[in-house]
Amino acid sequence: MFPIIKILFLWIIGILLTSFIDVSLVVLFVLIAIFSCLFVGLYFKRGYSFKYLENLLLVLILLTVVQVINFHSSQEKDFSAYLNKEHKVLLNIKERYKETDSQFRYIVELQAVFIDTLISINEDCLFYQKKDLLSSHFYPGDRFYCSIYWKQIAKAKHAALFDASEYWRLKGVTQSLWLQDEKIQRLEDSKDWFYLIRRKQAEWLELIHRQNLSESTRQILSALVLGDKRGVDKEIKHRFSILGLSHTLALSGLHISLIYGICAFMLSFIFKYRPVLQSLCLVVIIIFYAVLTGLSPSVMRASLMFLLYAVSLGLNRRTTPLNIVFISALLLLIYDSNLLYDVGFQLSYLAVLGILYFYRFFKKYIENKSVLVKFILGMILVSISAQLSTGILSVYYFHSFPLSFLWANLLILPMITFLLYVSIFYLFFLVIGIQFSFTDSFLDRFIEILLSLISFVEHYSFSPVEFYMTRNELFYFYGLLLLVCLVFLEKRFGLLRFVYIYLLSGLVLFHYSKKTPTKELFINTSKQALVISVIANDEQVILSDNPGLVSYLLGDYSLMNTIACVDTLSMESDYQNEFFRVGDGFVELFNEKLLMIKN
Amino acid sequence: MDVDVLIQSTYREDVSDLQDFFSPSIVVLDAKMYKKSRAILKEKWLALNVEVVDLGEEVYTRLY
Repeated sequence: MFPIIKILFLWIIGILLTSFIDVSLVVLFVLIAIFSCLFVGLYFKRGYSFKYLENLLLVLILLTVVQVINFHSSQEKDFSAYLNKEHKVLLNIKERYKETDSQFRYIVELQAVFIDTLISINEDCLFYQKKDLLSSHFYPGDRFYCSIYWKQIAKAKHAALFDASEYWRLKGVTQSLWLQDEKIQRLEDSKDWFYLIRRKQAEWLELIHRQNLSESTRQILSALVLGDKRGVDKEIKHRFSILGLSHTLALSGLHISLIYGICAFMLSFIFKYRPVLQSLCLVVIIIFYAVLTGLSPSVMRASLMFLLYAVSLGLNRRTTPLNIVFISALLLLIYDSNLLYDVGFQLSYLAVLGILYFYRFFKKYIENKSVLVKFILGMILVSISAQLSTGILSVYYFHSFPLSFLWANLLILPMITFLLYVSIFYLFFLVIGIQFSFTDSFLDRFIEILLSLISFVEHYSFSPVEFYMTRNELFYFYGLLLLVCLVFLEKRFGLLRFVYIYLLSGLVLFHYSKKTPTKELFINTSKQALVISVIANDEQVILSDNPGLVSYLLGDYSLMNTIACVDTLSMESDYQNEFFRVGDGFVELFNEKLLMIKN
Repeated sequence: MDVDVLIQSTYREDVSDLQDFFSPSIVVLDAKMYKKSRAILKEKWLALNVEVVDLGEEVYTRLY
């Protein structure tokens, strides 16, 4: 039914195998040649049927092709000779990544390093620039020579911490460069169309920030229209997150579909009888918008799907939405195999698959309703469909599940949709130099109401459920979801006994793999804080000289150990419970003594 | 006075005195110290046959 899914499935298997296969490029080419010769030989052999062998050879050819395509990205380069030293380098700014109170962070292409002569490198790196009164930040496409201190991105110190080195490795970045001084030697900026569009994003963000808007309006507008979530206040992000509304703030398929809708509507008047021209214009607009907003995986997914849809309309060769989803996923994975490990990519594709799959079962219940009821129920059912497919994965990554996602989405989504339409026109008029006096105050007022409504919803909502899920549990629950869908939605009731066996084996496995209650002493420090944690009987006592930084040092440690009760104390406390006593610089636990020497 | 775990937060020259006085079975070096100081202290404690954990590089965990 969907032939592309077989290729996509094999491509994914090929990518997963990449880290286990360590052979040279020559060997891979030889293997492809052997498999191809065997396939051709069998294919033209008359009289016998080698259907299964032919299929197996095709699979092997495809898997080897994946290894060849991903060969260079899977090879880790050795930079040990450059590490922990100062160097003069040639950089090309690719992306402005983050801005904190003390620094700017960028993703740069390290083009060359100067050691006696210029040595070509061409590696993506993280680039740190200290922020002070004299520093001016860089734009995508800026090229310059500068002095940097070269470091490797550090690994996380324990399993419960976010592993930045792994996160960046999957994006093809392993090194970090720290700008040593502001004396840089600029070269001519890159004239690449990609960087020209990316610079436009930076310029238009600055344009929004120059307007007479409140800070929260600027932040939300920047995120909503230009995909720049970096400046959004942590508090606002947190509120959106606990209500399951993060997807509205991050540019996603929702936004691209709205942009596509507006443009298609407007172009339909211009190109009334020229669908090919209309499709071409839409393709250009969507590509421009996707590049402008930074090509996040969800934007790439949505844009590519709309492009494929527009192309299929233009060529008058319509295909099913599922085929478009699978083709777009395959194209993106061919373009960058690391996207497979990207949370945004995984969530985005699962959400759209969930909506396409589950919604068709719900649809029949709203068919004969009035327009308003259809609209409201439609939104509810789309939200439920997306949560059914993404809920397990978001619990695995974010360790929480927003119980109030349904009514929060129902109330906030129409407002966000309206805001997005208004914001697009607002930015459009700003860019062409037209300003209306009432728009700033209107936007401020609207966002004030939006944030108040979010506070109201938050006040009358359940807190998100927090729990830790291991990778094995993740796969188990998705397996269960798949089986349940097959039995109850696809009506393959013959598989019901497998559901029982699966549930039973799951129960047995979870029972035996459940960790026995442990007693554990854990100590971690950074430049700013020291934390000592003692766990016993599902209780945890945390001792720290800077309690504000406890979560930074512990990460998800408490959640991982399913702690029921946490007590956080300062170093100077006097405290005693059945397994722990602290006082006078001494800590006693389980009949052991721990001493801190400060001077 | 014997202690089981000694957390050293500042650099001190008198490592052997600390050893005589507290006889720790394990020394944990605070990441607040400079990398160089931690390296010197680690060397000194290891010379006295005391196990050392550098908190700048790893965390210390112990199961009971």
